[in-house]
Amino acid sequence: MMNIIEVKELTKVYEGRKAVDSVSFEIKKGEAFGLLGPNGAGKTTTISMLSCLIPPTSGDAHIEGKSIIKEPIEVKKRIGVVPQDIALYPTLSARENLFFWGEMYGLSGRRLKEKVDEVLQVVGLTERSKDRINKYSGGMKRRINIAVGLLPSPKLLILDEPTVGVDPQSRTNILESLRKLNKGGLTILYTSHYMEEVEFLCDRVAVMDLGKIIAQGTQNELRLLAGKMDSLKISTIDEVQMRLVEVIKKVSETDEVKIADKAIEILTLQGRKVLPKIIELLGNNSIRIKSVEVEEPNLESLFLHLTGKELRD
Amino acid sequence: MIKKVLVIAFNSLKVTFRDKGNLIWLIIMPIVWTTLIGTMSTTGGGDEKIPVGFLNSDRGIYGEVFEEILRKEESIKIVAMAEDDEDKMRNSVKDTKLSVGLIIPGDFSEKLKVREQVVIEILKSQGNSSYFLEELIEKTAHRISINALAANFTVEKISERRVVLEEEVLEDEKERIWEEAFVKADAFFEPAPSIGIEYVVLSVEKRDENIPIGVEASSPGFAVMFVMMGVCFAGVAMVQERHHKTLARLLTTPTEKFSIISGKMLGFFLVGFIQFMILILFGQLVLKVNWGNLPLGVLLLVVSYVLSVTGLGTLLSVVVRTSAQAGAFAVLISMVTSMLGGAWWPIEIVPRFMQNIARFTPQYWAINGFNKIITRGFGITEILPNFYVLLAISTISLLLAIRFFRFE
Repeated sequence: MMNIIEVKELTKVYEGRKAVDSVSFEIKKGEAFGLLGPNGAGKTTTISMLSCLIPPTSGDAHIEGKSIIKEPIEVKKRIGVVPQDIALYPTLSARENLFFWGEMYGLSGRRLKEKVDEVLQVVGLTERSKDRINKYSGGMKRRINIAVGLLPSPKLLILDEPTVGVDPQSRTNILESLRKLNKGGLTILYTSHYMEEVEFLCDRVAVMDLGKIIAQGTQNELRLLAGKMDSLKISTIDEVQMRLVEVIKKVSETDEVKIADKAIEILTLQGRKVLPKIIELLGNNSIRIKSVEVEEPNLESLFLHLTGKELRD
Repeated sequence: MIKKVLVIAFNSLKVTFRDKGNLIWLIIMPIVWTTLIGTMSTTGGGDEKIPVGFLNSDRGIYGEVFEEILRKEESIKIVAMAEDDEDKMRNSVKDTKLSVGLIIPGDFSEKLKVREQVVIEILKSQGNSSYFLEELIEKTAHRISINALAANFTVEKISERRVVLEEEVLEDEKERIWEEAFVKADAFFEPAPSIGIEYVVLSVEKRDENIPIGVEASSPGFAVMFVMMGVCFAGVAMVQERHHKTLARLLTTPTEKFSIISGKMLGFFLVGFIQFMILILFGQLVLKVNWGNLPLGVLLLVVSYVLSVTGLGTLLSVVVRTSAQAGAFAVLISMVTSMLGGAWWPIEIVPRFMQNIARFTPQYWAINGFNKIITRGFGITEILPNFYVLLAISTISLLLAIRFFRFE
């Protein structure tokens, strides 16, 4: 699959300090790519350079082959940007805001009206579109903020922490909408310091800290990097015979199996794959299960493993 | 590019006028202030008509007709002078108490009747000219000249006919025919007996100009002040835009920076221009201030003044960091420079050094220009210096604003 964006050695220096330090990555067409990192990691600066808001100190990035340095207007025609802040006119209605931004993206006439109706439907705010933005809840404002980014029918949608300050229900709505758009073929570059959001939405992830990408790959690849195994803890109603240890080891493809009366603890690299087989094995041996607990290493533990600090530090 | 500039400008207008607070500051407050302060400072009824001295020495009827025609003009006030008051009238014109003085000679009607050239005298003071008045007087003279021609023509024709019929035309009858023909004179044209007009420019030893008072002073004064405040508030709105990041977001759309800056400035300009027009209409229609003497002159001054405050308003938005700062500076700068510039009281009554300081404010040049039009009935030539100075201020401030414009 072809790359829609190629970032090479992108660097931004502010007053002698490298806010972004030689960042490189590619995003394939139709992919959802996450930039994960704590506040101050350099995510927004990276996004700002890719959106042609600020020029890089060195390096370059190409979006559909167009350079952010040499052809910023061509780049801007191909992207939709959803900034971290709610960049809308509070005294205008959602519809008036969308019409204005649509015109700034070069839309007009019937095409503009159709597009405004379409994005309102995508973010589920058609009914409230005539209300002023300052009458909206935080979550609704965020949804219109995203709708503006969708107006130009972008090849790449860049979102910079689009769920900051919204309630859990609105966050779920936003993430579901974005996943739906991604499944529909929209390429997404998503930054966040919320590990769960990136895990939910993104196929591949780059982890940033202090201006640098410290790891990137698919979620599974990154988990393996953390050097931790999945932990399966199964409590049973019936006693588990010691004779089953060897069978479980074989099924789990691991030697790390402990049995104590009515409990089994397994450490494996493929917890999700192994679990159904273990449940089946116990059933065949007439051992009833009381509870199952699965603990997987996540991006949080990866970040901890790589930097020695937590994502929200 | 132009389309996007217009879209940005009209969006700024929409955002500004959507805010009820802005409407109060832009329209309601200026109207209330203009009316209140104007009414309070009015002395003796405030006659806003242009005073024209009229000395009629004519022994016939045409001098009176001349006066009658001029009296029908709403924007001027005829001050009739006795025949031996010529010196008094000359002094009044010198002192600019009268905008012009008009002298109709004793043989005015006689000469018209025998189709001889006759000269009327218009007195005006040095540096004080009103094309409106001059045009009005010339038009009236021309009209009377044509009427006289028609009357001559009619009497002559009737006399010829009577000769053929061997009937005599009596002198009384001739007079009656003259008057009737005079009324119907519009049907006849050249060659008309010419009425020469001689302008006598009187040197002014001590310039004691007409000082505008009442609504005549408050209408342009407060319009100028509140327009500056309005445009500065638009600058505050841009600081808020920077804070809301809508300005930065504009840069993520495929729009050139120059188009964004131009659109924003055009928005500021339109806010000021619309506000000014509303205040002028209010002054003209409700307060009966004579804004309509020289529409082109008013337009030139309004455009150049609003351009200059657009530059200053944008500069303000560039210099300050927060909207609270911007709001405070908007009020402070508008109030102080307006006081200095003569918006609150006639600049003529303040000490000379304050008058010199006033020249550094755009308000001074705008108000001075409006006074020339409204109070003194001056022409375009006299307001051109004001226009040029305002244009210079506009150019400098707009260039500085563009140079230092910030999106973040």
